[in-house]
Amino acid sequence: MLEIRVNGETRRCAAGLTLVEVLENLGYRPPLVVVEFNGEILPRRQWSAQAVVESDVLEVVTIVGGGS
Amino acid sequence: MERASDSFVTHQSAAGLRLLDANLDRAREGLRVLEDWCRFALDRPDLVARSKDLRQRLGRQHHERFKLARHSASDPAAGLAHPAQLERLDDGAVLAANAARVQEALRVLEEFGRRDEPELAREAAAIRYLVYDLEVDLIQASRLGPGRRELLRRAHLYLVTSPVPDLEAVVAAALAGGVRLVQYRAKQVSGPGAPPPLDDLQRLQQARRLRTLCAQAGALFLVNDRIDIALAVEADGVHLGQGDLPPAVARRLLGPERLIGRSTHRIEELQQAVSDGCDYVGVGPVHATPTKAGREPVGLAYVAEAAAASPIPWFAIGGIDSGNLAAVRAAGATRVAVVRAITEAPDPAAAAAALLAGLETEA
Repeated sequence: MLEIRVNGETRRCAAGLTLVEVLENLGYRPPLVVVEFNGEILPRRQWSAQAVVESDVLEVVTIVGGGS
Repeated sequence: MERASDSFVTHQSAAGLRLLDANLDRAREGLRVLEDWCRFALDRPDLVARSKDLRQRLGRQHHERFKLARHSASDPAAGLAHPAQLERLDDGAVLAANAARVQEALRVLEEFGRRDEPELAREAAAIRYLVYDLEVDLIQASRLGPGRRELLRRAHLYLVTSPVPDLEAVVAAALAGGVRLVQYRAKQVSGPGAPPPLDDLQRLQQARRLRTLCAQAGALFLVNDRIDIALAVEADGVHLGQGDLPPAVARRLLGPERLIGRSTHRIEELQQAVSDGCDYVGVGPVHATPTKAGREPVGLAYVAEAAAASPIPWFAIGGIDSGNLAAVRAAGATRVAVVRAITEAPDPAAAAAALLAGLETEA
């Protein structure tokens, strides 16, 4: 169990997950978001290789609004 | 300036008509800013519809004779931007300023319209109150205030509703008594004297009314078990019993922003809830309770285990009231959830206040 920061809030997730798995566990839909990982925008293709460890900092922005 | 068409002749001066015209415009423009925020930033069709309705109601009061009195060319203030308007960069300030602008304009319409335009004055007053409600919901939806998780962290008394008559009055009183976390639990209560079961339409309507009460009091509103109703009324999240849908499913449906809580009856379930990404857990039932008829109470032992082990907020629950609160606190609980202690109290506001007082004193 890790503690990470997501959009300024402390969140918990299981250890040993990749970034894309953490995003899904947090309820985000990977295709719809942009992620700044520890201060840098991380290209989407690296998300499934990027490990997430204790106190990593994520800024997750939903880029696609729902239809209205 | 003669006008043949308008049969209703007002003896008001042109200046008076220009004043009403200018404030009708100001109110409608301010509503338009709020409406576009709801549409583009929040993607909330329900809030868009509400502000559009208010704008159109005002439009119906914007009679031709007001507009004909307008000649903005000679309006000394036309186009003058107040310096503060230029500094309004962050969203919160834009929202607050425009909501205030609408309310001020409506206030002017109310005051000056009263003598010659009574219908306009009445509408302006009615709309002003609706704009207050809209602003509350808008701030809540824009999350400009503290986030849901921060509000959860601050809440120490959790009211879980039971199907008592006049439930909305009870919840309103509890909110007045200081409750800031409410869960709508509309489970079937069987047995003698139980009220007739609600159908889903009634649950939806009741949930919607409770949601509005909580939003106005700045309280979190969660729904027990029913993710569909929670989404339908824009609840702040759901509470899942061990037999309800698993948190991972709820999280995929609710998204990252809403809260998910879980009932737990032993430490393994607590640890599982934490690794499932739940935002809080219930710990209990501490004492036997009719709300959970047939479930063995877990007593204070589990409360002590939770106190030592839980990294997330946790609420002791199960037959807790002001009488036995001290013992639960002594076992390590700093947050409690109650049902009957408030819903069946003769004075729910006082019961809530007493419980809050009991929680604040050091164990």
